[in-house]
Amino acid sequence: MNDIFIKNMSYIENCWPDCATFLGSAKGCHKLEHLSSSHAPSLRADGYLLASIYDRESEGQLQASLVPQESKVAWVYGPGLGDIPRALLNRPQIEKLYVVVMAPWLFYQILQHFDQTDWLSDSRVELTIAEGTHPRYPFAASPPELTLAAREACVLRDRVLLELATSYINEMHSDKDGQIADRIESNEPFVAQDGDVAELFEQWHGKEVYVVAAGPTLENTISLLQHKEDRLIIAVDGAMPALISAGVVPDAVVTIDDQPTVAEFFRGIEADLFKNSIMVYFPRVHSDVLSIWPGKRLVAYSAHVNYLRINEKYPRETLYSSGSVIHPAIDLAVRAGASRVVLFGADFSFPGNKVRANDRTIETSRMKSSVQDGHGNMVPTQSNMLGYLRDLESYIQLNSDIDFVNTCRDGAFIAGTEYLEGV
Amino acid sequence: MASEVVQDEYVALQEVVRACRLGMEAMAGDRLVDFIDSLSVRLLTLPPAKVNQLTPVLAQVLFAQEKRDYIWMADLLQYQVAPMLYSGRDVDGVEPVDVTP
Repeated sequence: MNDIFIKNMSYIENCWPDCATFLGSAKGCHKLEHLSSSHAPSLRADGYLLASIYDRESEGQLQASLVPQESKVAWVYGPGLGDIPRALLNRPQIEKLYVVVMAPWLFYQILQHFDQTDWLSDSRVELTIAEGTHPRYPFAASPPELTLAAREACVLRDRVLLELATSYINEMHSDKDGQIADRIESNEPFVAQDGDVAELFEQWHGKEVYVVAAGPTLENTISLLQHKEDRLIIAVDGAMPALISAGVVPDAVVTIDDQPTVAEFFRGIEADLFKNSIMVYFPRVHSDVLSIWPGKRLVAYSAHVNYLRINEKYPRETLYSSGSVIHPAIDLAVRAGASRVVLFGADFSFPGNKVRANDRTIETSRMKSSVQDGHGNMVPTQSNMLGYLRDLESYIQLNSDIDFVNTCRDGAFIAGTEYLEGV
Repeated sequence: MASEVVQDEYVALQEVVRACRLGMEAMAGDRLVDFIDSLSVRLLTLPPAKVNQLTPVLAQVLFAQEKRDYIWMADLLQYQVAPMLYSGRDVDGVEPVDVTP
């Protein structure tokens, strides 16, 4: 133990003894590189640079800028090398600063190399170890510490990253070039003649509804759909190829994506088999998808501003949507009155190194994101899928009167769901 | 027109840097594509010595992005790439440091 560490820890032991105990027990067998010869001393941990080697102060101020100037209380997710807490504590308006340690093993190492007593000794600081699943606002965050977050902090980490990405995602969906508006307009003849998704609301009151997504584990569980009598099945569009080849006909199919390739999911459907199935769609979809469908179509909107205009002309109900088609598919089951929603192929990851059921394998070894599966192992994923997963978990939390059941442990663990008996 | 292209490219680089430091990964990735697209056309007009100087640093930028080492990626772009490409603009001119992992 060196003098810096003893000094740092003495503050923590005095002010936050539980934190000190936890930090002392934090395990970490990691690669650390102390970059002391750079313009600004920094640390690289497991290959990730923790702070700029050129100008840490400016970087800390930029990161702290996510907290509005007038804020009196703020949260910092990941103290890093202390630059974000310092930047925020320089503001006289700040009355309380909660500094949340996302990677305890890393913070323990930082305390050995960098003097943190200037901000640890500030009476406005409250140091905590990451707990809970939702970030508090307003916040700033240290990106590398989020990447290196302890497994226990991964859900919180994902939601912090999702929040950081939200403004950009909204910008991407803002239809600046008018393409979505054009697509919706071109689909107006369909919308005018098709019914409202509300026709299905409360139609399956108290029933068990299967929601079938397109994830790889659908291959393992599709036989449950083949042999279940009196089933009610809502499928997402991407699951159609697997369902068609297994001879499973869903009661409803949900499609929301504007990519013309979505029409490929419906190739080979036999009109006679699917004529009693219902397609529920957002009118931004490619018109080929609507033309192909042999059965009844119902219109739904999301709450997005893109649908405000058409909703005035053709009022239709909205379904919850947060980037993935699985969100409105599940919301449809809930709005239809399901008391139990059983999920198939809802993987939010690449189990078996596949993107979809019945798909070829892909190379996932270089993917840097992972998520815990139902066995407690980490499985490769992508950050957008993590976002979809966390938003679904928030949705499930808001609908706690409904039983949500997952059918396979090989995909991402979904908080709020139970596993089907015997799985 | 040429100066407008360079200005847009410089803005894209600054946006990549900002997004990297703030943990806005998707934005960083998309803006990096914009920056590289613009630069790859302009590289044909740059002196060979400059291209030779830039190439290994840009390779490091792409490697950092693949590894999600975003702070290093931001440092490379802000303190090594920008001074090579945008002299005369308000760039951070400091002696580059090589801490390649």
